[in-house]
Amino acid sequence: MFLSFFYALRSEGLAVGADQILELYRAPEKIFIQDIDALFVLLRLICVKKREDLDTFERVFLNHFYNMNIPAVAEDDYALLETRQFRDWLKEARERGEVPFVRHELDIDALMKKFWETLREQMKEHHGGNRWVGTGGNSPFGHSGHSANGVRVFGQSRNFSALKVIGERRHVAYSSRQTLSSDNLRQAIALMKNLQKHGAADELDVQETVYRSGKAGDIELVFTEPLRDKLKVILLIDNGGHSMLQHVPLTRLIFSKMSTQLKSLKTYFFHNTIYGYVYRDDTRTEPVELKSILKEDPETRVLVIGDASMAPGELYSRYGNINYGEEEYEPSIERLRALRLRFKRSVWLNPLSEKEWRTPFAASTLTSIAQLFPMYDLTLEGLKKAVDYLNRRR
Amino acid sequence: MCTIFSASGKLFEVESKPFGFSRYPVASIYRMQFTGTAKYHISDELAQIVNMALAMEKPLLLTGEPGTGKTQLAFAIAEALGLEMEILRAKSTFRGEEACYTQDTVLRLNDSRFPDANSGRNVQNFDDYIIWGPIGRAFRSEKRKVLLLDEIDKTESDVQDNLLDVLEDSQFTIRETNVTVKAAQKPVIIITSNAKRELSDPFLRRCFCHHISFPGVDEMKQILALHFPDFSGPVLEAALRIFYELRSRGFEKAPATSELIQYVDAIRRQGYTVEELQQVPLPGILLKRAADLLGFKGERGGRGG
Repeated sequence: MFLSFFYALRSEGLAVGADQILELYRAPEKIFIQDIDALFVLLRLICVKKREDLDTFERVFLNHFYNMNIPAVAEDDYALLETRQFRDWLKEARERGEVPFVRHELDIDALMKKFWETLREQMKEHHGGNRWVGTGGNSPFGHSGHSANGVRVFGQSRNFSALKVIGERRHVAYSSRQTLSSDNLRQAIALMKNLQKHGAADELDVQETVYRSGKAGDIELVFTEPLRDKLKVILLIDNGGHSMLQHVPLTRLIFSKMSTQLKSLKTYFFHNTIYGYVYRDDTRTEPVELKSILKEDPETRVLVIGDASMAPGELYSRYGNINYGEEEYEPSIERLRALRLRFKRSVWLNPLSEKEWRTPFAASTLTSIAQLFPMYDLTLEGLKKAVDYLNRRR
Repeated sequence: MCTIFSASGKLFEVESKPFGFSRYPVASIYRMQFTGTAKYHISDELAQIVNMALAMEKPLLLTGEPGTGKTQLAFAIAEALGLEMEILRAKSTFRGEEACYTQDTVLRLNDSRFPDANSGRNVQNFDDYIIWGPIGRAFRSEKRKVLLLDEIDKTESDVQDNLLDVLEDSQFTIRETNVTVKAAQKPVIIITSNAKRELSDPFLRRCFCHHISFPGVDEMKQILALHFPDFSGPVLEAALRIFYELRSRGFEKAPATSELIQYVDAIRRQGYTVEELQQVPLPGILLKRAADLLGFKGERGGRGG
């Protein structure tokens, strides 16, 4: 019964293997697992090594041992509406007449609230083998008594309880599928810090000096280049699109928080796409020629943050700039190409989630830009991939 | 033997028998006793985690933002177990070997040029010139020790890889003489990380990892009660409100537990009232960065005028 738990974790993307399974089966020789809450703590210690996996673990645990299947979204996230759990619940709630059938009578927010309330209620009232709407069946564990599989579970409950912990969903914001928010800000910064090259500025290569001195029979000092430990970063932020609004302050905060680790950080703004000028301020009154940016050190890391969605003409046409008084001959796509050619270590971060990239609204211009720049969505996972790309040796 | 870390931070050893999942354990072996008070507030959950790591002899990696008591926990464990500590404070320039040992090359060179028969050292003998680092001392000690590797995330990932043997088998090799030093008594290894950078996967695999969340209001009250047992009421509540409000504002350096303790101490000594606290006196105790402080004062000035 524990094996299937490990496989459930694996199918949710947690890297657990034979080592972890053996560790669990050896554990009872050394420690006393007095109840399911202790089992929860033990399994978590064995299986979860990173914070972004915690929410997944908690959900799988709840599903496996309590037969409750909670969706992988935060409470205020509208992505809930697309989850199977929500749909199943809605269907049953409608059949029971708790929720009106007619669509326009539904207030989405009230409906979501009702869903989470039902869920919390069920978690609170859970007494072994409970059913969660749409699943049914019995849990192998109870809060008192023991299951046929032979785990004795003592009913005594202390301050700590696995259900209570899971119910708080403390880690959902840190799950790697979540978009950036002030909750997971720290984690995002930690990811970004992987950008910097660090290292001892040990300029005398002692090993090599000893080796060569020995060979030559005379002192021969060998120096190595110190590792460059600080990076230059240019941020180019689209503050035109509606989808960008909530992300601009956060993105700036992330970078300003790590600015002490950087040699230089320059932030520029543009509207929808880049033409001959970008702007030093977010109201776009202080223009900076793109040409001068193209003169920056080619090793500079360039991150463009924007939804890459616009009218096709803005990107491909000559004189495509929609901003009054900024007519110019060169189409924007050529400007982007120049930027990409100059800076090999550049990425495009998109606040639209990867799923949305294929919608007709975004597809045309977004696809073209994604062919030019490696594009990632602005989630923790996307940020991680972007950092990996920027760090890649070439 | 089974070690128990009770909620009050005291540790007891009780007899336990090995058992399997299929056998029913005997409830009476799990006796908990609460005696005395500790300076360190520990939740049931964390106590359980510490016990499991101790029993399974796994290094315990604690992550979490500053001010969640990661380092303090190592001290609390050492105190409760009555063990001595060895502390390694990691730096980014760290190469990893010096955590185990270094060789006093200057002394050896000096001895070889100016031999002194009374020094008790033999120039031919490498071992006479070893300076043991914290890991070396912990492994060579006859008594079990608590080994704290503090802020391991500051190190390079190859340093973490060098430490894998240390974590896995409690041993390291002296490269120059190819001698393996194995721990006489496996130390209790506690590792802390501020998650400045991600740790390498092999390193993480060898540890039990636990993320300490920043304490919520109720837990924070318990922590404060340990420091100021006779101070409570509306003034404290108001101070806590200020603290959590400032934390949520996204300052460059958000105030943490130690700042709050200083703040509450200052308020207590100054004898502020709830009304006076509305003005948020002494913000400099909570906000350490000049930019944060100026930002905060600007906001407040803006509101007032």
